[in-house]
Amino acid sequence: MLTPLQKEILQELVNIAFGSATASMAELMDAFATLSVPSIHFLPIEQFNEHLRTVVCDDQPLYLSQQVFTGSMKGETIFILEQTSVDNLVRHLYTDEEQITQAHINDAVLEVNNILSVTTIGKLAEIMKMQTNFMVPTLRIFADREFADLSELAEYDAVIIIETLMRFEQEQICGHLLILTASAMMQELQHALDQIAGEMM
Amino acid sequence: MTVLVTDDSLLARKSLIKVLRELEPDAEIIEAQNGLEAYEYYCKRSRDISLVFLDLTMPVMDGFEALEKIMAFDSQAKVVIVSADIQPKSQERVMGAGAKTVIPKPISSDKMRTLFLSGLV
Repeated sequence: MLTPLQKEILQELVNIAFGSATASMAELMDAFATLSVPSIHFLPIEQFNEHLRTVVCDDQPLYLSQQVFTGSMKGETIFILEQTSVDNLVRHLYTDEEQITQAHINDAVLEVNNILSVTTIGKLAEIMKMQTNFMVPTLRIFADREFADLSELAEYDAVIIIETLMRFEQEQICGHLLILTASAMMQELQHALDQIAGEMM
Repeated sequence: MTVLVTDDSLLARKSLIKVLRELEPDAEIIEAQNGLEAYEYYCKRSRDISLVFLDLTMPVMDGFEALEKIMAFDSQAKVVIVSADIQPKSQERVMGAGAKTVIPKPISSDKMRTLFLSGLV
């Protein structure tokens, strides 16, 4: 799918993009944040649901937020948080709130997804001299690891999986960010990566 | 001072209002949850509203369109974009449409203080 050089460059670009996202998350949480170096690998879409089942730890409810991006860089991000992480996140963000409702919880997850996904993809697009527009994110809550109704994702034939662990000074929040693309986008991506490789060497 | 705060996220609005109140404790705050609401509030209260904060990614009407409509209604409107979209092209687009400046999300006390000291608003 990608040559070793293209993959190495993409890894570095994602590291840079995640650096921006880390700074944004630290500001949001008002705490020192570290994001582990994201691991990147590629999957055919047929293996995607199975992969999702392996990345989440156990049978906790899962918050799955999706955000479509369009333009010369196009695809969709999926951000997954497990219930424990959501609880930690909400406890940290709503310190002044007397009563936390499900609406508060959903809103917090969506806003964190928005900041993390938009900052990461936006920075990637900027570095790669591409352009993208963001749609409003949506949220679904799964009682267990059954993602059967993600069939609408079949329009994507490639999945770039970028996974990271977010840690804060006192709270631990584990989030998985996944980027889905179509093969047409992969060709654009390869072209942009080759251009960057040409500029570097 | 009347300030219109526009974001579909309750958390984002509360965060912005919190840091705004540190500098302008007596400000009247109007909240809008999408671009259309913001535009409609602005048309009704344009004489009172001295500053508009506008997110870009919102349902019903996004911030790009709302900015264009508000500026078409009042070319003197003071609109500040608060968004996680840090792409130069997005920033060029909103600045070209008349936004005073762009603040990357999340908002913070330092960013708000810098905005007020800049003389832009």
